[in-house]
Amino acid sequence: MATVTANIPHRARRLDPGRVLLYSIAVAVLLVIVVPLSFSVLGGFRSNAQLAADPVGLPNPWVWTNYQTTLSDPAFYQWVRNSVLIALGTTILVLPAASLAAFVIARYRFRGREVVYALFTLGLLFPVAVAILPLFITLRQTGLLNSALGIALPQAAFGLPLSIVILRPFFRSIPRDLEDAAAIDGCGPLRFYWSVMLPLSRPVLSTIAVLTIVGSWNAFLLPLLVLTKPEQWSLPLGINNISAQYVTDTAAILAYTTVAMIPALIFYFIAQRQIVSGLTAGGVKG
Amino acid sequence: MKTVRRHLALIAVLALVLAACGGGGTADVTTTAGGVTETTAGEAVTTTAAAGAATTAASSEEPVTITWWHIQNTDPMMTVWQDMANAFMAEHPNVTIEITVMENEAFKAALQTNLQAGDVPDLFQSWGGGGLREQVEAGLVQDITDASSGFIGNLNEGAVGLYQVDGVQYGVPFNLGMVGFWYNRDLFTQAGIDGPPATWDEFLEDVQTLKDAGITPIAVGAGDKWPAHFYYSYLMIREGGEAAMAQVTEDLDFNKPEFIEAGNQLQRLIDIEPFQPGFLAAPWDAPDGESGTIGTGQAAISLMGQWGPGAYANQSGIGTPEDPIAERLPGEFGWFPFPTVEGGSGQPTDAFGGGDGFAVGKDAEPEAVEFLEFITNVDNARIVGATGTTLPVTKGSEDSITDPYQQQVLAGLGQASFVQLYLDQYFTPELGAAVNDAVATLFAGEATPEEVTQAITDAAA
Amino acid sequence: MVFGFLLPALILYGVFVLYPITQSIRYSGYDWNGLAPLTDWVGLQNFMDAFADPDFIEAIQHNFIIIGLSLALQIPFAISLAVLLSRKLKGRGLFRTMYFAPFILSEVVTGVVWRQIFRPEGLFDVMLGSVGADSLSREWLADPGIALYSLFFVISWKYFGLHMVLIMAGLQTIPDELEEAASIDGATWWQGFRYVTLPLLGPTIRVSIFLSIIGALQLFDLVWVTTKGGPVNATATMATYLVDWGFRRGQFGYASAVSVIIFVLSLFVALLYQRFVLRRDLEGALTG
Repeated sequence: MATVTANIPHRARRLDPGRVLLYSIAVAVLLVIVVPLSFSVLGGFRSNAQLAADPVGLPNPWVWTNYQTTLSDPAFYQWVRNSVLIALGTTILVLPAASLAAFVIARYRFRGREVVYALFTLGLLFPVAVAILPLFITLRQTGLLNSALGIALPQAAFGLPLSIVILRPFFRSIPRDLEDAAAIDGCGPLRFYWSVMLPLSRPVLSTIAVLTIVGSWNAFLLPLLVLTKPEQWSLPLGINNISAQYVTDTAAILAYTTVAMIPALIFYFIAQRQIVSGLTAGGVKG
Repeated sequence: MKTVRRHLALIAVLALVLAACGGGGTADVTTTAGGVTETTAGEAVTTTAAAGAATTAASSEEPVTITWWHIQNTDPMMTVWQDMANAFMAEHPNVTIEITVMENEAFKAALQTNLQAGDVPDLFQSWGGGGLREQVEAGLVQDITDASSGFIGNLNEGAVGLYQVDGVQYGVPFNLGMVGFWYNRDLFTQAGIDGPPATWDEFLEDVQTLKDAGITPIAVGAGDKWPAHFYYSYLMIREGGEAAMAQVTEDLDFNKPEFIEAGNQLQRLIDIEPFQPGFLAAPWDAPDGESGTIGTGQAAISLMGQWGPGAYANQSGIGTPEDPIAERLPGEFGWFPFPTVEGGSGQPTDAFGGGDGFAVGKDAEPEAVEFLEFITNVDNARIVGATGTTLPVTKGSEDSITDPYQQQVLAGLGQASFVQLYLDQYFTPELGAAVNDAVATLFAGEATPEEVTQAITDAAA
Repeated sequence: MVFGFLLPALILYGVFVLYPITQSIRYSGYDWNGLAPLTDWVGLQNFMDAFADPDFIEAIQHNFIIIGLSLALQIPFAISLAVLLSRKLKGRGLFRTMYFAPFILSEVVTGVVWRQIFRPEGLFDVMLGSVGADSLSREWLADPGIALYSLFFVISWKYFGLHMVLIMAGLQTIPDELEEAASIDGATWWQGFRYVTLPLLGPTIRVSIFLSIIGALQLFDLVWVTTKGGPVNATATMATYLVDWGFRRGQFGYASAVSVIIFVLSLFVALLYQRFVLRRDLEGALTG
């Protein structure tokens, strides 16, 4: 990085038209991102009459009731709780299953290893939508409809491929000497996995946890079909339902939507590094 | 050692989880046990009065839970039903009624998945017809012929018949009406139109006149599709009459000259481009939907059932739900039956409509039927009639209908020589959806009338 | 012993991924409404019906139009922004964070907000009006001729950040010295980009394209929330068609056949892409 600055000493300063253009583009794109979001945030502060008359400027006067209604709605908190529960459940299921499997696939030779790995990577191609009908029937047969586990188990299963694909190269990169040394100390595979591999791979595991939570938090199709009781809905279902049914009140819909964005955005700003590194690792490695 | 033990515990938990998913009922593995009481958000109002599972014993002393799904998601009817449930529970302390209120479209989706999961509500909104027949064939609803014999005779026979399949009673109606044109008289006057049209040609002229006067003639929620299918269905009835409808029920061949002509007539209307902006994506009930457009006076005409004015009023922003509907509408409204079509073999008095009722789920306790008797007794039917949004079917409750708009619908229904049930409910859900979809393509200008009848016939095959 | 480590993952994966997929294949041979017993064996009829249904063909076309638009517009756009942000730009951390933010929002939130923006006389029309461009105003989501493109805009809004971030990561692996060397040799910025940077970015771009294709083939949530596949199927995708037939019309057998078709098509495209494009980059991650 430092070398780059050194090489373009005089081009960088002053009002050079190229730079102005670059900034203009960057800011224009920024506006395209920010305007819809602020429309939602500000829309929640308007009355419906204001929304119809002038959806562009600042609200005048600021209307607080929409957000008050949203934030005092017990259903909203119930949906948040449900979403949190499902996200944590999915993560708790996916972490041990994926790390154990990736550990074996990465470090042991056995017949059919490549087949098993290929089977898992195949899953990258098939998100829930393709298998949704039989999955629905499987859940019905196992009595898992209308339960948080009915979401968490399939989500964990569909989350395995990406997690294993991210973990395998990482586990592989840990030197064999380490394992040999551990073995001399009388440390079996399980012990090695638990007290050497897992502590070493904490950053990767947290990346997987973060990606799993984001995926689960935003999931729509599976909860839509599996959770039919309003008191069990996840947040996206609740929001979708409000937008379809709170029909007379656009401002209220926007207030709900805005409040629903906040947990995800906070989480993003905190865990940005893990999200980005996880996606790049997953993307570049396959 | 400690670490190993912890690790094994993790595996054990996982095994437990997997074992739990292998067998066991939902109740055992459900982790969200605490229900929300009174979800004020949206229309998803769930009133969970008490926990306690339904028991199979029929004794009246045993605690009984009735799950009730209805779609009267706005006042006054939402409160009317809640009050009646409360009154019934007060009379029967052992009965708990759990109400789930949903918006129409959300209800249809949720019911479909619940039925496929074999999880049937005890009482749920039904329009009868092909949907009910399919539920009967799958054993999801209950024969209540005997259980209802004590009171079913007090109800309008036509409405009762909608909830029979092969002579067996599976549900009880509470509302029966017909579809007709609601129109804003002030806008008609503004365009210089004196009165409602009597023939389809006059109707098309009036639509053109409105348009020329700068008024959006018609609002239609073609995004939901069924409001659009009302136009086509009525024209089918006007063109083909009772005979053609009976014939198509038998042979499921929609490629009849009468029905193609119905499409041609509808095409004449569509060619005027009389609908509100964005009508193809507009739902029935939303601020930018059919009800919102009419309720805010932005269009003059809406082809809808007896529930129309109540919905327009809810979107108008005028007055409060306690005020009479007429005072909450943007102008003076009127109603006229679907015009006659020259050359058609249907009678001017042939009507298109249907009712609302509640089907009884396979696992419902006898108290569920008792509750239906309760809400359809004369006193309660009069309360329903007085709301001005619903036309009760209980004999002797007619005088409770004081709302001038509902009186017009009732009069129209009284003269009806033949009532055809909504086609999307009359046929199987699959065929009903095909009718709706095909009509929507006509509205979008993507199909010819011949292609519409062909598409429906193909779906029926 | 070691094999036991695989069990949790294999059970989970088998029960909730592999088993449902094999069941899909079984159901696809029946005429079945999901309620009654599975008795009406119809062989390949469901598949023939699907390919004879113009609505399904149209849905497939929509998926491929989205793929085409993504490759022609969204990915180049993401590359440009990644290159732009890789230059020394004040506040580029903020730009990157904000560009990526929509990716983190749920499809539901995205759909609900954009539905409000695109509705007649909504924010978009008002903004057009305020710059005197009323005449450009359209029924963005209600006109069957436009809705798919409006939807593509929303898709790009939500997902370009992902591709941008992937490509930025790819750019970081390219040593600065290479571009500098080109520039010393008298190459213009464009030549340096075209003949040095872009080829080196190849693997990353090919992965990005792959993800984009797979994502477009599976497109569901955002469409369902924003338009439900309407107006009149104008934005229907294979997945919305599947859900519509399975859950609105209750034709489980037929819808299963559709899911098998999507499955096979995705596999075919993925293998093809891998065989001819990705081979060098992936080291057989997919086929072993």
